[in-house]
Amino acid sequence: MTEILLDSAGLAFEPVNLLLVFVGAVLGTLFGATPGISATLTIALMVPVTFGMTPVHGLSFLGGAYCGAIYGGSISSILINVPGTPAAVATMMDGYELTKKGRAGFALGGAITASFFGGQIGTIVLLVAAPLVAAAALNIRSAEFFWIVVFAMSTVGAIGGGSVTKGLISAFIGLILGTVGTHPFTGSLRFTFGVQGLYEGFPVIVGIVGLFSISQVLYLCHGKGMDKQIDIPTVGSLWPGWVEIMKVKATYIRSAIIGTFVGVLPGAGADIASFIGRNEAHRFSRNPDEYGKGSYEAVVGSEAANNAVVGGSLVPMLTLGIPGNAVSAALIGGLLIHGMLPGPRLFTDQAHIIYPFILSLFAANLFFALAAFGGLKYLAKVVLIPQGVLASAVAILSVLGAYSYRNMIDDLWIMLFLGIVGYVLRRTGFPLAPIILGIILGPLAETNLERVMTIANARGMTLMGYFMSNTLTIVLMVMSIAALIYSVVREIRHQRSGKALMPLETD
Amino acid sequence: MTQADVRVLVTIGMLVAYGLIMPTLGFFVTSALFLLLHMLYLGIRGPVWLASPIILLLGTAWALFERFLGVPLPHGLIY
Repeated sequence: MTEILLDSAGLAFEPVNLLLVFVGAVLGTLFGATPGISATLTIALMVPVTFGMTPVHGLSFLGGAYCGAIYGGSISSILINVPGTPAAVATMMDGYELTKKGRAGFALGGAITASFFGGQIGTIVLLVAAPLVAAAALNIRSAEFFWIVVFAMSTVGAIGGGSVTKGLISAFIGLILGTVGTHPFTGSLRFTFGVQGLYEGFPVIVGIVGLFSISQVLYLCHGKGMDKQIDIPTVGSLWPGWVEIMKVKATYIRSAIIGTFVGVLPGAGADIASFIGRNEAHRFSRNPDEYGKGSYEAVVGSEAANNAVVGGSLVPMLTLGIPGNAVSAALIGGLLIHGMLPGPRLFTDQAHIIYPFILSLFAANLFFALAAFGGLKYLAKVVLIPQGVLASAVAILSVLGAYSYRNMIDDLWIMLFLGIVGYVLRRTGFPLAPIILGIILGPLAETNLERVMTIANARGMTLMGYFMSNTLTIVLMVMSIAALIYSVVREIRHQRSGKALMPLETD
Repeated sequence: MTQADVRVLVTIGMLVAYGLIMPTLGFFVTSALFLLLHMLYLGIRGPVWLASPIILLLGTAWALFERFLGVPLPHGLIY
């Protein structure tokens, strides 16, 4: 193990790779800071850029972008009260208050230090946990994997954004879209309508670019202020000082742990993590009244959690192919483009690629922090870009991303179709992340279910009988049912109290 | 059907037009046209704000895909 790590460190930290991580981190921060471009969108747009790179370089670059983008959202949240990414919505509440009091630098410094710390903790957990999960995953059989997937889908309702019912409907829409293509066992074509590009189903990258990117372009076009420009407040010193940091060290640690765990859960992303992080910080705070009026602790509580999601989300994604959030779902596209399939084999057959990637994340967190401390003044200028320019630019970037996947014009039409679908769904209050989850996990679930049915048949058991014959499967079934029941309870509670639910766009 | 909805429909229309024109005119020319027309439609004015995104985006795309990565983007009648 140490040998692998040492060799991987050599690959991860060699100059060209570090340069790519740095560029990725800076670009990620810029995209993340831009209101209207989420971290998910950032990765979706950056994946095609890694085309000609070696797998280690490409993944390291994307890792840098992931870390940078989740951090970057805080910049616009704090400075202009508009979240750069959904992950930074919770940061807005106190971050902007601090800016109004002339302490923008203080808030920004808190965001940088918290994001750095959270990111590193998440990466440490990833480095330690992923190989263990991968080793366990090698022994997972079809029935168990099927129920893991079912459980993953059911967490969508339990924790996901928007109305729980709509979340589950989105998940089902995703499952249906996932059936498009060639039937895994019979080879017959389903729902392809003669479109060659759909013979293998909706390609993940095109799917994400269409559902998230084009729908966002349409969403931006629907908004007001296409040509307006905003003023950026002046920023003073960024370093918060050790005294302030130590005052809230418990928050740094607590939020980082929360973020890592929330990241692992497929139904929840950085946005939810940041809310939970902030709420828990509030609960344990010695100065709860400060919250909402400009509390440094609140900013830390939110930002440490959302960056910890990076590492957490990669645990199930890399080891099982089940994305921990929408961004890691987009990263699956990054793996596919380099000929890798997420799953436990990554840690055996392609260990010489995956370990350098994980190690490079440590550098990524460091780089965005350094870039921010050194050049925030310049990075922040990105919020000046008018929405109209953004909408057009993202449209072309999306076209570039979708087309460069396999040079098929079909993909442009697929992208546009999904974009319109995604836009309509967003406007009617349906979250989009469960759709991508369904598209990715649906085929996985179906393949495994077919296998299970074949095996059960061969053994003369009924399907249910086969499921009940294995303890792990029973546990997973119970967990799935529990998650679904919890979703229903949560929905009923929310309808009664009428409280606002989570944001629909997610990271 | 509000003004905003019209913007969305027009954008969809422009994207459809893009898909139809791209095979003939190639990526760079079609993209430049789209960027220019779409930004003008959305109300962006001034040569700086109009030209910079086009030059930056397409310039980077060209350098990245055609030069560094060696994965050419479709060319058309003009380029």
